[in-house]
Amino acid sequence: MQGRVLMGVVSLALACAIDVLAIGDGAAFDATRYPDWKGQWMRLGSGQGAPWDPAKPWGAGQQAPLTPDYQALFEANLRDQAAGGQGSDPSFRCIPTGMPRVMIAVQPMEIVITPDATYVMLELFSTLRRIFTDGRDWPKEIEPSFAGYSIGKWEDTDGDGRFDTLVAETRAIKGPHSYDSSGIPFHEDGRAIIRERISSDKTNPNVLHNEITSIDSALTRPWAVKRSYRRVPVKEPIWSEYVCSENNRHVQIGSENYVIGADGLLMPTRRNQSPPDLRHFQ
Amino acid sequence: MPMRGSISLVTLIGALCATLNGVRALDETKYPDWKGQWVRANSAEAAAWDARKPRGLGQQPPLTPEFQAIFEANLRQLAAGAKSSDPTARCIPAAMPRVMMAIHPMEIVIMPDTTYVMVETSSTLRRIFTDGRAWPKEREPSYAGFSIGQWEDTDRDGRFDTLAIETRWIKGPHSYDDSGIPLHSDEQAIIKERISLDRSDPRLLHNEITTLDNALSKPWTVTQSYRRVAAARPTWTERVCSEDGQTVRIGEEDYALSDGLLMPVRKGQPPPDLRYFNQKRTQN
Repeated sequence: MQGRVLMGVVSLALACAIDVLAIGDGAAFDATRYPDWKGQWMRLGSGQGAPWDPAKPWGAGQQAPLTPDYQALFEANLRDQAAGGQGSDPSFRCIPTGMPRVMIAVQPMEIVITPDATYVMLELFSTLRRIFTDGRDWPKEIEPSFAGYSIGKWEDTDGDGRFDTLVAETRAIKGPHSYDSSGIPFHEDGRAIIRERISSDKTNPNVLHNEITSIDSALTRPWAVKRSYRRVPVKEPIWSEYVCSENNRHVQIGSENYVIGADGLLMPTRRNQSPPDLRHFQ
Repeated sequence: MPMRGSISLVTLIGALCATLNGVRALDETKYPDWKGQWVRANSAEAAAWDARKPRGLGQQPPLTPEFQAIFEANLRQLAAGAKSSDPTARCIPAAMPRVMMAIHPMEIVIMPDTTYVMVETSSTLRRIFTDGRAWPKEREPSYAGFSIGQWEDTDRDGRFDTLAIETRWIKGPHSYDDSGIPLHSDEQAIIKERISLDRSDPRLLHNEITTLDNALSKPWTVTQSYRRVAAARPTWTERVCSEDGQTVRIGEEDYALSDGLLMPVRKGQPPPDLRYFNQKRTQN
């Protein structure tokens, strides 16, 4: 009897080992090593105007640690917005909001984890972030992009054998960009570095947290903000397309912004605005 | 006592196996290796929908007479310099099926429930659901459309080799390529795809695309092929059309933007109606 049980143990262990090896074959994906972040995520907290720091009011209330130069630019932009202008926020011209602002997740987000890369797919401006987790070094030169170039590393912070935190660093972010719609600016040198720590809530697996730290020459010190997302409790969530150009009424001609009216005609956006230069028409 | 220990060991090993196997998301030995960066295999300058035939009329699309007339009118417009039949000039996405020409690089990520096709053109993300779901009753049309797929093991070697896809609810206006071969405006087109690796060259992927559309007199089948870029860590680029906005529509007319100035797109094109401005023109 004992012998039969021992044989059973050996057979089971062998079968298991063979199966695990099969999973390991060809760098196969062992999902038990990664957190379950499947599904559709939406931002938690619906602060008016979607401020960058959800714990503080939009605009000057964000108390962004800007250098005096950039604080002055920010305030001038707020005055322009108060007067009906667009300020320094380029997204009204369908320029992507870029990193890190896109991680506010004003529109839904999906996260797809593979061993070599984690894909963050955001509906806003059809933003696709590839966070490379294949152990690569930073390339010597990177063409700036609005999503930036991200390298990540998985951490098992509680030592339970399963990764729980994705630590990402993003560089080469293309400007102009701002933290939120109030126009809090990044430095124009394009050298901002964004560090993220993404992890599930300790008690609620349907809540995801992202500690985002911006390091930028327009700041007097790194600016850390915590954003959170909730998983939509639907098995087959609806994904939409966000095509900004489709219904955008704003037109930039030269340095001037105009708007297309309901009748399809070009209209000024401020009093006494000059019409566009028509020198190329007879 | 030793037997109780052995039983505990059996239980432990069993539980470990169940954990490892039960929760795993993707057994890669069941799916083909389509990793990496794909670009279209035919790199002719002007990308025609059917790469084997000349662009424009040479494509011989099986259009109904009504849509053949629209196509020919589009070609005349193009010859006159206007691009109004090609909505991508106004930063409207290329849409399905045109985006699958993969004018710009493409990545395919296979997960058990969904295959993601990410094409740089128009920043397109296609989700092809392979979770066995049924067609929903209604869906808001989108440029990528709504796709359901099914994996097939055509050579019965125990590994899937072909992804069969059907895509519905594709938003218009859209055309097959930049020559303006039109799809019907009723947005009822159905696109069927069969994607599989080349039998002898794993660096080549083929996509047999059949379009069923009310602008066609019969289904139109074309094969697009893609080659895998031989780089372990390929470079991915962002395509932000609005950044270099090429065309603007004012009233019923399209105008080009160049060096910050409004330009006509055809000879003798009237300037835009500026009735909402004081009538002074900017003098330079």
